[in-house]
Amino acid sequence: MGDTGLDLLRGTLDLMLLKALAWQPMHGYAAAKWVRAASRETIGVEDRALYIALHRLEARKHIRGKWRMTSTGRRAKFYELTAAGRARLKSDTSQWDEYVRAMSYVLHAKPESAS
Amino acid sequence: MTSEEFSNRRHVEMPPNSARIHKAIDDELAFHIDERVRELIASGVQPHLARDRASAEFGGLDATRRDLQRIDADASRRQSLVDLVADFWIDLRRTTRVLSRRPGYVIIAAFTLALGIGANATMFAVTDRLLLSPPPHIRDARDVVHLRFDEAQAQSGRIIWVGAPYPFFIALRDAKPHFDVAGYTNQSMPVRAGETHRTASVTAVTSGYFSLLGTRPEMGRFFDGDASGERPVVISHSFWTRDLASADVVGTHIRLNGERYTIVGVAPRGFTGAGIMPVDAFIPLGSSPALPVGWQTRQNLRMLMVVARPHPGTTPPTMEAEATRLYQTSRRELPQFDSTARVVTATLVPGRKPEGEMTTDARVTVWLQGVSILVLIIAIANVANLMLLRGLERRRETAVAVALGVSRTRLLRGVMLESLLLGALAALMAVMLSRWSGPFLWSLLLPMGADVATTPLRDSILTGLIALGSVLAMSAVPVALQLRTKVSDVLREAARGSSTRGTLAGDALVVTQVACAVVLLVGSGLFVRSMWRLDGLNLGFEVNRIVAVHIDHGQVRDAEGAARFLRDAEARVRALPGVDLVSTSLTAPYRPSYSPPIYVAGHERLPGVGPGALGYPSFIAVSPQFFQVLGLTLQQGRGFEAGDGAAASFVTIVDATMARTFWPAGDAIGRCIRIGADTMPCRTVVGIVQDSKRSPIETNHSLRYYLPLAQAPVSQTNHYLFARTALPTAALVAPVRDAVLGSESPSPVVEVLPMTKFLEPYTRPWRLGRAVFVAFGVLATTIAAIGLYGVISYGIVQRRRELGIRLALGATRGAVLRLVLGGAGKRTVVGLVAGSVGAVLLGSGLRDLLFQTSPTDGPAFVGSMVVVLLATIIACIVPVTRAVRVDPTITLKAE
Repeated sequence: MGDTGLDLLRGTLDLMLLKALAWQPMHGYAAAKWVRAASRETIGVEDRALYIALHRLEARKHIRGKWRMTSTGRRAKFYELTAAGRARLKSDTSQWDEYVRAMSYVLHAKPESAS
Repeated sequence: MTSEEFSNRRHVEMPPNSARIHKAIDDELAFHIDERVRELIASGVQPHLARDRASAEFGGLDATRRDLQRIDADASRRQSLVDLVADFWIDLRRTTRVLSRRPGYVIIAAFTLALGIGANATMFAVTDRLLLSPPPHIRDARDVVHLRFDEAQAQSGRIIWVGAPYPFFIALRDAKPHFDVAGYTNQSMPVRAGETHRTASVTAVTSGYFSLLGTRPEMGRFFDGDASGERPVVISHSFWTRDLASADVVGTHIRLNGERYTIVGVAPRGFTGAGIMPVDAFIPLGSSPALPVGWQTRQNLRMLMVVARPHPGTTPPTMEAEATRLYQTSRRELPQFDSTARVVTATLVPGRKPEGEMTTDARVTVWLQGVSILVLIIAIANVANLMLLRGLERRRETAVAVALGVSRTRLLRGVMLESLLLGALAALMAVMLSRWSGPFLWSLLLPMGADVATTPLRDSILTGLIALGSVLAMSAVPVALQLRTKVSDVLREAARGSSTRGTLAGDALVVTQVACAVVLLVGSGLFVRSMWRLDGLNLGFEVNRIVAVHIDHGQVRDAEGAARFLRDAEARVRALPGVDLVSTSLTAPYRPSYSPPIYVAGHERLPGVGPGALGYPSFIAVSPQFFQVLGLTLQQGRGFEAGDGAAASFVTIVDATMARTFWPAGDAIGRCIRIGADTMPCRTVVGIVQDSKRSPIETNHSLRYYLPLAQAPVSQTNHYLFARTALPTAALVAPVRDAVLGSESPSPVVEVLPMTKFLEPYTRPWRLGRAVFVAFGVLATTIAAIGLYGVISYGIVQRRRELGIRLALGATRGAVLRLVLGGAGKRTVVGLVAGSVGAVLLGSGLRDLLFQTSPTDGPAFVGSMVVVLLATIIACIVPVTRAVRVDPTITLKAE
């Protein structure tokens, strides 16, 4: 993960989408809804960013798009994780956890522990 | 190909293109909006407002669409590249697997192709060297020219002299024309260097020779100027490596014609000066120990070849005009001055004589190039045929694949890949073949033999290009067949088990092969017949019973001493057991001879002498036994006698053609020939002897006369001696050498050869033609037979059902045999006819290369046809026996 805010954000969105698709294949609209629900309505994904992220992930072969019928009988492009995508989800998740832990140490550090 | 391999989705789906990408993105985004609209409506938004709101929420729909299009297009491009490579590997693995299951097919196909490719690559290298390229190691060699002198001659029309008199050369050089000039003359003289003691070919050069050519020495330096005092010599690379043991030769000495020379440098490998014939050493002209008396002043001694390099901006016509003016000026005072004389330029390209016509070696080379192209065509036709048959075998499979959605390009790639693999294998084999055969062919074809710097990289590239061309050519037919295969036709046909379209192309290929084989066999037949005639008495000599000796004293003895030595040597050889007759002569048949101008009373212009003919008749000065030893029959008059000495009245014997040409009335005996000038003493014709050829390649017989040795108008220190024996000539070589050498010191250079060897350089074009045509002819016939075998076998397998039914319905085996053979027969006959027509057309070009053999020689044609027919029959035997053994019950059950 890079050190600029933009990379952080993009990496974050990628990770969230990979996580969403890890449950089951879904189309873009459903993935966005899932993220919103999973974040307890705190994170709303911008539509434009959503699709660019999906297509980038597809181009990198982390996810694979397939046209299928929805439960309501409409044709939609469903994305599913590839093996490479699953591996990336795993490594990014552990990196993210580490990052969050480190951030929380920093933010909750007591003044006297600093030298 | 298995259907499992085709089931891979990727190969069935159309490749993504931009239109498809755009549509997918539009659909995806439209779906998103629609979902949002539905949700908004469900949450109570007015339907007519919902869509606008959804779009507004999305924000930058068009920009998003463009971004996505870009991302997807990039990805698709990358993907198709990956797919291409992956497909290629899959195809390559599959093709290799398929081919490895057919080792016989692969070996036959690749080997045939390799022969064709290798022959062409090697021949092209030779052709290039002989015809297209000037001698090596010359800077900007295409600018450098020889000067030739076109002049009118008394009695003989115009002649182009290749040499210039030395005084003119000096005048030319001193006039400082708009070109640099240098001169050289080729001489042969005895050389002694360490163990070596032989006749060497030496080029004596004027100052400025090496700098004009722009050559760099391999070692040491070149000399410049007619260095007086020391005698410097530059030796050739081959002389250095073959004749001198030491690596560091610069500064050491060799003896030329008895004179001591200091080696100052070694020429680069393959350097032959401005000419093409091999040279052992280069010396300054002024130092040469073998120059005629008065060479510096004589105006009629044309011993110097002149090379010229134009200054920048000077064109050949300008050079010619300038040189012509100077030439005329320098000769104005001479009695034989010719105001129409002009100087012409000639390129250094070796395949052409100064007059622009091709040398014999060059003509043979052109023919061999043609032959090797024919062999390549046969090989290509054969491999194409084999591929075609395999394609036909797999027709049904192919049709199924096409029906399943495998793209045609993919199928074609398979065919191309198969021929590429075969081509690559063949090219590899061809490179190995030419490694082995190249030097051999070079030594056969090029006078400088193997001493030629080769260019492996260029040769390999050439081989590769020829291989690639062959691959394209041979896959053309199978590809065309693939393109025209209609799924429905094939699937329907498969049930019936017969197909004609593919075999039609196969027929054409077989006919081509048979025709090419006939052409080549006729070619070889013509050369074989030429050799027969040549080996027989027709040469004019009894070749097999003669030992030839060349004795060269150089300047060790004067002409008188050399003549005395010759008489003694003759006596010693005559005393040898097994030697029946001995003769001696000045010059010899098939060796350079004298052709001085002659004058014959009653002829203003000599018939048969002049442009298009070979100049003046040549003479050989001989001892009385000469005709007997060589087996030449006296047709009229008498031979020479011991009494025809220097003091006796001058006599001559002319050959039959000369007698006929000059005295058509048949009254040659008693007539008079004057040599050199019409004031010279009369030499009376006392006999007429049968013709002998001066060179086997002569297109028209050149005239020759003989003089008694004692009455020769020139004296020389080198002679020939011929000994006739009943023993095998090879056994006599050593005793004759010892006898000739005797014990007298210093000993001359003596070369002893059986007559067959002596003549070899001159019979080379025929031997070569015979060897190559026969080899290629046999090869072609074999290849054609294999092709025919393949086509017939395939046809029989295809018609097994039909033949089974015929047999079941009561057809006799004989009838089946006729049916099968009829098809093969038709193809062969068409091929034979086409081939004969081709051979007649091509044969006329061979006319000049043949010896007493017509290009439409009956036996050669009939023989070739019989060979091809026999090969066809042999090719048919196996498949035909298989055909008549067809068991009706088995074949019919199999369906």
